[in-house]
Amino acid sequence: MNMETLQLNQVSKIYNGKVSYKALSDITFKIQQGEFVGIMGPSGSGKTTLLNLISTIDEPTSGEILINNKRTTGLSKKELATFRRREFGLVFQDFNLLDTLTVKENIILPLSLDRKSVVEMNIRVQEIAERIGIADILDKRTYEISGGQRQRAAIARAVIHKPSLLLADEPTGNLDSNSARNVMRMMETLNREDHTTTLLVTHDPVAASYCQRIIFIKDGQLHNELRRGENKQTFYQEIINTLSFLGGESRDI
Amino acid sequence: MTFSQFAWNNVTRNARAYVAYFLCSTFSVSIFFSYAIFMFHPALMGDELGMSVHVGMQAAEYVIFFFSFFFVLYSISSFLKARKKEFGILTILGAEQSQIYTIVFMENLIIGALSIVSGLGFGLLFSKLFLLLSTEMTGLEGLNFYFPTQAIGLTAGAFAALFIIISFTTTLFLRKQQTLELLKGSSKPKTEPKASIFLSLLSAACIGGAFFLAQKDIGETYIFVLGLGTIGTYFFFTQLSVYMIRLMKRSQAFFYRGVNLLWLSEMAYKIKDSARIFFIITVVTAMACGFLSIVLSGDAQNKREFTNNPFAIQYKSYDTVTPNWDQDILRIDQILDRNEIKYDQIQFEGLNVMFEEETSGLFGLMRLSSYKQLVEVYNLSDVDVLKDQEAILINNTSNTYTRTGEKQTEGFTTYPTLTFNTSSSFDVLMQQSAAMPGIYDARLVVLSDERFNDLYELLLSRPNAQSPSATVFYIIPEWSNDHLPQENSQELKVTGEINTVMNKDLGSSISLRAMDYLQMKQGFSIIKFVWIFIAAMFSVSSVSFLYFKLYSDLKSDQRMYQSLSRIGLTEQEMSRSASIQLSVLFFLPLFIASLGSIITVELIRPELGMATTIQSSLTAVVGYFIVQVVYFIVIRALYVQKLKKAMF
Repeated sequence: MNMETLQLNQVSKIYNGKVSYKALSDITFKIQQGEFVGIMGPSGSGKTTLLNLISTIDEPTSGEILINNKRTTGLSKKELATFRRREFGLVFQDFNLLDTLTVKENIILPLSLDRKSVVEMNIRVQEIAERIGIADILDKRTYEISGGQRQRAAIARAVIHKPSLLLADEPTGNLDSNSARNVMRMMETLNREDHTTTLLVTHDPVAASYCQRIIFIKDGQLHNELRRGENKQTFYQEIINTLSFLGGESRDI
Repeated sequence: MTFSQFAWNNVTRNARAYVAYFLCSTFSVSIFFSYAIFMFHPALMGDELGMSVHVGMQAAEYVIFFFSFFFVLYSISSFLKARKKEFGILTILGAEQSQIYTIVFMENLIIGALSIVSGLGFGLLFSKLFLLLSTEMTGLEGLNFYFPTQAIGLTAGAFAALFIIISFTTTLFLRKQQTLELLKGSSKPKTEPKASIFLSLLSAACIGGAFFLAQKDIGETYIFVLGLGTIGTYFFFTQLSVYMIRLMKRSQAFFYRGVNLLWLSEMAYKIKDSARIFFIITVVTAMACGFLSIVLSGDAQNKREFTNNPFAIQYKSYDTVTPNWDQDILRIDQILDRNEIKYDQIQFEGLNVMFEEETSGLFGLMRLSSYKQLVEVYNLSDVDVLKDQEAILINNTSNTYTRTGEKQTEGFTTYPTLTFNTSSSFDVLMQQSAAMPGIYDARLVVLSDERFNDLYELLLSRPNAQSPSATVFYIIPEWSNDHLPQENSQELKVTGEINTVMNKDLGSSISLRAMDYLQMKQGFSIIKFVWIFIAAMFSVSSVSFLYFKLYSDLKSDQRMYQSLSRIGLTEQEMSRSASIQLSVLFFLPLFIASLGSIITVELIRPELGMATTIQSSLTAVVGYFIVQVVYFIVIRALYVQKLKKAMF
């Protein structure tokens, strides 16, 4: 039986203001455990809103979101925070690492907040750092390492507690193409080896081509879905085609 | 638009950014001014308060000015820091360095002038209230409102000078900064604070040395202790504290536990950033608490002296040979009789002699008959007769001090015999110690009346003989010394009358218990008021320093907690982390200052001739603490509230 890690049922988001603005309408999709899914769409299509809703830092106006078959709506702020910290791993465009901490301290932060034992933290950090290839910079500070290294450290922090869902928001947005490829390979490997369910929001067709499936949204609505076949190159071409069909995105390619 | 117009517009159109700086300057001006109004008050200008009170009041004005300087300097430097980006943009647009200096200089002058005017305005507005408060606290009559020309002149002059000096110094802040650095402002990541092991050890050694020295007595110890303590404190904040945090971080069991990871890693930055401010806060707080506790101790001592003094009136003549002094006594008796006051009079003569057994000081001599009069007053042992060769030795504990200045109550040297010359040697029949307020001899020897008279004659016949003294005590049962005297008491009225008729020549002295007490109390209450005022000012200013610091860090703290909130930091955890950090910032300087002031006051106590200071020190420190705790609670709540807004 397939286990659904993430389930969205008719999720809508309306921002009330002088002019009400419907950012998302009736979004419904599922992500199975172990999938690597991308979300793409033109600027203003509602990608960020969607990610905020999924990562529980914003609430849907209607509809429901289930993570591991558990509703995230109606939880208290404190419950939501602990929920985020246990169930999600988050990777951001701007890394979100703390300047005041070393790379290692940044990585163990989620474990430390959950009061895991020092021994366990040290074992886990060593393990993940070696897999991701940052074992030699663990004692460095964030401003002493390159952007690619920073993003890898951020990924290490996102997966060290073995989250149910890894959410990545434009992880390659601030990286050069070489580092970007490295980071995407890293995420692909983690997905393949650990079956970490991954949801990637991106503009970048190259990054998106590492996904198994891509959901396109436009103007707050689901547009279509692409599945990756055998060939990555063909998949990339399909993504480009869809994007140009969606319009206004060719400049981002 | 001319350049001066640009500077003017910069201030007036960007008022919000200047408000904090302006308010700080206004605050300093109005504090200084309020105090000057008090200091120059016509009712306080007379001589009756005495030199020391005037000097004390002037010293306080210097302290306020000195502190204002740092306060204004600090607020302007943090204000300029926040505007780095603006200067960067001006540079890119082609402004020359000298033009930017001119802007800063002129802005400072404008703000300075405005804050002098508004500070004087506020000061005048509240001066009535302030004078009312000072009347209430000092018990001085007639502190009415007056137009303080002198105070206005002093304040305007002093602060005009201050702002001009500061305007010159601020341009130094801006030197040697690259445009890029200016543009990036304070947003670039800061490197980890470094602490030198050598200087950390030096700090520890200085503090340890100060503690060690405090136990020793090497004469004027307090100067060395103060010096070492100050150096130690400076390096404690700049080096040792950072080093200690680093050591704490090494313990993974502690550092990796919950929010410790957050606040501890931030702590080093926050402390290092404001190390100098912490140092100033510490020194200033220690000073305020120290002076306050000295004043409180003096006040308490004054009360104790009143209640320990069994005699409402003490008269002492140092020259009984020219018998003018019995005229004085007659006058006192007459006034008491006229007011129908019953009294007991104890009158005795005294001599000072040196005995062969003790070369370090004189002994007071007394007749047995005088001793018998004093037995009841001082709780002495009853003695009926003394043979010719016998003497009683009394150690007067109310006037004997150890080498370190403590009052000595035990461990007196015993003398089996006391020898004056071959024909006059005495066996000490009994040696006792007793507190004898009113008698200034540390050691008293009681002889039979005959032997005393012999020695009296012998001493008088010597050339350059020291005159014998006469002491007259009045015990007045109606005037109890259990309760402190009121302004309208009979004791004060009658002794006041006596005071006016006394000969004030050098040969005699009179002490009138109630009057002396109230005069001292008056002086103390003025100094107490002054130092409470200064302590209050220091406490408000040190809180504003911290508030500035928090406010300037708020944006980056909000950003940090927002990104942590995304990855699942709860509000409770944020609140705990922020509160721990805040309480260290608030109470670390305070704790060190308290310790410093208590120890220092305890050390200089002997110099001031005070019996005990611990209680007063604790009162001052605890009072200061309570005020700070209130500030802490309010500011913590505001700060955490602001951070919560940034969280999801």
